[in-house]
Amino acid sequence: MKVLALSGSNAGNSFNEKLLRVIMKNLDNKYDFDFATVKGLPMFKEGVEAPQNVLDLGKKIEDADMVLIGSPEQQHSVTSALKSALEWLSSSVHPFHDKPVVIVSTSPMPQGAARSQTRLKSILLLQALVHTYLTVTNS
Amino acid sequence: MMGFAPKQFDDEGRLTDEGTLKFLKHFFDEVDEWYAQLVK
Repeated sequence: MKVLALSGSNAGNSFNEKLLRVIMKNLDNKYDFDFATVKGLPMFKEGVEAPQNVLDLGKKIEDADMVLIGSPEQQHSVTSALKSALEWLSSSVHPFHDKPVVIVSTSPMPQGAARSQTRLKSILLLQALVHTYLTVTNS
Repeated sequence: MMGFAPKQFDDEGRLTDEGTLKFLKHFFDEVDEWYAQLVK
């Protein structure tokens, strides 16, 4: 199964990216992983054609059987970088349509970015794009 | 959801708690079952 591990962080030293890399390293015997990040993508702007790096990310999502999103929490929600990417990816291209998505998260706080997961699930379902599966890992 | 992130990884980016890794593997077994239902 082809799985795209997508980091929703634009931080320089992201714990969520570390978590994704742990998963990729330890489960590479059962999944064919690829990695992508929202880091460096431009802010979404309505009415503008999606830039090439957004289209490239959309193609990676389309090509994957499943997308694994590492979703950090900012201000009780997803990062602005991830939200912006999802806006690009639900306007000029729609690679998440009927795409199975798995959400994982971690944070320095005891809740482990739980509110980010809840918010992301809501965003994805509102756009009717994906099947989601909420994960609870050790806290 | 994994809290206390700075304590969860060593300098090499590995998980410090074997139990977390064991749980992750179990979780992805459940993901496989979920995916199988989706594509059935």
